[in-house]
Amino acid sequence: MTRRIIIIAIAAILAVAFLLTYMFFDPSAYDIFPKCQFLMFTGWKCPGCGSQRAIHALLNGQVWEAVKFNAIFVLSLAIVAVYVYGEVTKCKHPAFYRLINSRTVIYSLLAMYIAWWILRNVFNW
Amino acid sequence: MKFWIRINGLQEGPMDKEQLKAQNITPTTYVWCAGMKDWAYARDVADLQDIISANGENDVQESLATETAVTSETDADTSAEQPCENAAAYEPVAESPVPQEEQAQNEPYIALETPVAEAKPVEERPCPPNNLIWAILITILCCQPLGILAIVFSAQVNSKYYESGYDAAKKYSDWSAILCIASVVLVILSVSLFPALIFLASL
Repeated sequence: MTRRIIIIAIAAILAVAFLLTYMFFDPSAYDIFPKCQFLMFTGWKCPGCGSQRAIHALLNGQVWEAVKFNAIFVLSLAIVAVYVYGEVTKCKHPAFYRLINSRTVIYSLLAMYIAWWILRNVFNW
Repeated sequence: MKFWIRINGLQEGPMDKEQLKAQNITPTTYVWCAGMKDWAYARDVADLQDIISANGENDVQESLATETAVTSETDADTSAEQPCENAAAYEPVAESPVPQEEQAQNEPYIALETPVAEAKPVEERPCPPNNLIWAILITILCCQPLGILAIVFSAQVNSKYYESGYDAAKKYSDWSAILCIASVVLVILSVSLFPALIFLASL
């Protein structure tokens, strides 16, 4: 039990430190932030490129800036919120839980990510 | 013990008795649990009497009145009080025979004589986690194509669970977890080792 509390405390401290770092430091202005390895080796953007700048923008209240850096990142936050909601209300709304976890819905998400991956390299989004 | 119910033609379950309390069970809600030959009205299931009376006492009076008026065939009545305890491993499948509404109102017990639908063993173990949330976060935060692969495996977990049971689903669940962990490790290694290598090379 105490071990569990320690783990949760460490996770919470890390999360707060992470958020504060990304709130006060612009990832595009400092070299200490990790660079995308996929972009470095292939020259192509990955689905997550721009997420760090998007986090910085979101934490400073600039939603539209965040969307311009990486639109799918902002959308993914909403998707994750829906899935967390589905998990929490699993017993109350079993049909909804089954729907969002069905193969069809998840494959649609997958298709969306792959399409985004291709399109952003084609149109340089 | 788990119950299934039909509300407005939709089958829901499995649910505990506690969860059933939140579902507004009326005396004429169809209920099924392992061990029962067929769906039955909630008022005929001994285990659920307290839940029904909590929800609508007037309905009980009313439907009991119509029942005595319409039927006196006591044959069916004996099988009506279904003990749920002797749980043989059955699960209601979607196409299990449910009497049509109109028929049910005239002859409430005719459904009990219809043959039992194709039985399927109950899966007692809960569905393994599909790790989808982690896979999505890794895809958009870690720049790893492995995250996409993890989503592919996550997609299979719940569907496999309902189709072929726990063991099949567990395989996919494990693979999505392994891919998630692998991509996190890979990202930490590459982010920390790559600058270190460049630094060493410059010495």
